[in-house]
Amino acid sequence: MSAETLRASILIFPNPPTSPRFSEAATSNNTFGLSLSRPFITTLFTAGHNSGDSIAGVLHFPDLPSTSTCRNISTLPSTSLHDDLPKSNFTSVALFPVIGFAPWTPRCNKEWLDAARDDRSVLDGFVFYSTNHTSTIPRHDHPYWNGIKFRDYGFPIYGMRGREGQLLMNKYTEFAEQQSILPDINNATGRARVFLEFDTGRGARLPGLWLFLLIVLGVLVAAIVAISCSMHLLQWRRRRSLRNRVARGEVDLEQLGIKRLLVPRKILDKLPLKPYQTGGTIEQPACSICLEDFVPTTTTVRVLPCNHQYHPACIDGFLEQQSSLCPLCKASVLPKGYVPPHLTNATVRREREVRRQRRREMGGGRIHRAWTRMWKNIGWGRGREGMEGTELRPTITQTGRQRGFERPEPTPSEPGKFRKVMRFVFPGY
Amino acid sequence: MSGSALKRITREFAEISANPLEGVVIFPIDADMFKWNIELTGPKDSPYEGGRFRLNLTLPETYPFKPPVLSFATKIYHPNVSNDDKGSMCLGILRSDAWKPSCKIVAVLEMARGLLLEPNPEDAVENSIAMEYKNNRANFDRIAREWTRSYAK
Ligand SMILES: [Zn+2]
Ligand SMILES: [Zn+2]
Repeated sequence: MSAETLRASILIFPNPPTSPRFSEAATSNNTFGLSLSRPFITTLFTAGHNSGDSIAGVLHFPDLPSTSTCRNISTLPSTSLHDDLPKSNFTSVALFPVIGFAPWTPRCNKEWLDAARDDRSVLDGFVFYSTNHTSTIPRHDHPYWNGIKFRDYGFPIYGMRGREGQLLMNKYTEFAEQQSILPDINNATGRARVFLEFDTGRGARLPGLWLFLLIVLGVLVAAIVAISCSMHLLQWRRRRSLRNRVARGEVDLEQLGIKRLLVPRKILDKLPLKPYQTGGTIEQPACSICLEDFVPTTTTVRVLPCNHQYHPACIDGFLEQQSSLCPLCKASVLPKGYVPPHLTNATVRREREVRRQRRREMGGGRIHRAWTRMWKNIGWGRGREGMEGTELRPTITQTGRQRGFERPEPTPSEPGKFRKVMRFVFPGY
Repeated sequence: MSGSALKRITREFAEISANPLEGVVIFPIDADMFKWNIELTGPKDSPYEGGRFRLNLTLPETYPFKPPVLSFATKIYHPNVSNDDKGSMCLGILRSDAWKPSCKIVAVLEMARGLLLEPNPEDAVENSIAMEYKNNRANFDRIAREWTRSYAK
C-alpha cells in the first residue's frame, strides 16, 4: 500500500544502557519534528506491504564502497557520514529497524539501493529525498530512474520532497557528529537518532471490494427489512379487514371451507340444556350419537340452534374439539358474525383465493382467464393452475359447507425450516 | 372420545348380533371392536350368486362423527369397488359429507349388499366396468360370474 504520510522524530538510545528500551522524544516540543503527506511523498515500491503495516526505523545512510564515485557528490554534506548505530550495546538495538536514506541522484540511485541492501541485511525501507527544495521525487516509471527494478529489493521504497529531506539530512549529520548527549530531552542522555515512520493508511480501512460488498449487503438487508415490514403491515390490515367482514356476516369462513371452526366453551355454555320433551319441532326420541333413547322430562339434552338435541356428554366434546357444525344437519352452532380468535395469514390467503376464484367464475375475469391461459401455454402456470383446480373448485361449486369442512386445513402440512422463516419474513406469499 | 365411540360400536354390534342381516356374517377381529371382518354372500339372481366375499370394516376413532371405511378383501368385478389391492368402496353414506351419526353400521352393510344386487354405475370408481354394465350387460354378467367363481369361494 502506498504511503500517505511520513513523520520524523528523535529517538534516544539511553547511555549508559539502564534498560534496553528507547525513550522517544516528543515530536513537537523542544527538539525536532516533521511530517509530510502526499503528494510530497512518492511511493516507488510497496514490497507487498498492506495498509496499516508499520514501516518505521532510524535513518541510516548507506555506506558506499570506497571506490564509488558517488561518495563525494556535491549534494552530500562534507562531514563524515559515519553512522555509528549502537549495535553492540544491546542485542535488541542491533535488531532495531532501519530506514535507508539518500539524495536522489540519477547516476547514483542504484548504487545507494545496492549499498543499502548489502550494508544491512534487513532494511525496513528506503527513502530518497530530492536535492532541490521544491521538487518531489519522480514516479517509479520515470525515465530518470534509468530502469531500476525496484522489486529486486525486498523493502519498500519511497521518495520525499527536497526541503524536508534536507532538514532530515542536516539533523542526521548533526547527530552523527555529536556522538553522545542531548541532555535536554526528558533529562535523558544518550545517542539521538532520527526516527522515520511511514503511515500507510488506516489498517482498519477496508479494501475497496470488501467495502463495496458490505454496502451491497447493507442495502440488501435494508431492502429486505423494508419489504418485510410493509408485508407484515399489509398482512395485518388484511387480517383486520377479514375480521371485520366476518363480524359483519359478509364472509362465512366455515361455509366457504376456508377454516374449520370450533366452539369455545363460552358459546357452548350459552346453548340451552333442557329436560327432554316429546313433540318438539323435530321428532328425536334418541340421541343419534350414542343411540340411547331419551327419557321424557328426565334426560337433560343440549339443544343446538338448529333444534337438534343430543346428550351434552355426547355432543359437547365434538363441538369443542372437532367441528362447529351440527353432525346431523351441518348447520353452524356459532352465532352469526362470530369471529374466531385466531385468524392466521393462511386463512387470509385462502379467503382471497376463494374470492378471486369466485370473481373469475362469475365471468368478471376475462382478462385474468386470458392471462392464465397464456401462462399455461407457456408452461409456467401449470402447477398453480393445477392447485387451484383441484383444491378450490370443489369448494366453490359445491357451495361450501358439505365438502368444504372435510378438506384439511393447509397449515399442518409441515413446512420446512426455510419455508417457515420465509413465511415469517415475507408473510402472505 | 374413543370411549364413547367404543360404547356405541359395542351397542351396534350387540344389535346386529341379535338381529343378523340376511347374507351377512360378522367377525370382529380379536378384541378390537374398531375393525370388523365381514362375509357377504352373493345375493340370489345376481352375477355374484354363490360367492362369499370378505370385507374389512374399519371404524374411525371419532365414530360416529366420521363414517366407517369399507373395503373388499376379495377381488370383485363391480363398478363401485376399486379394482386394486385396496378394493375400496366409497359412495352414498360412506362419504363423509353424506354421513350422519344417526346412520348405523347395519345401514352400511345393507347398502353394500344392495350394491351387489344392483350396482350404481352413475357413481362408479371403475368407469370402464360401469360403461360395460350399462352398455353390454351380458358381458358384464359373464365376467362378474367368472370372477366370483375364481375368487369368491
Ligand atoms: Zn348420547
Ligand atoms: Zn342440526
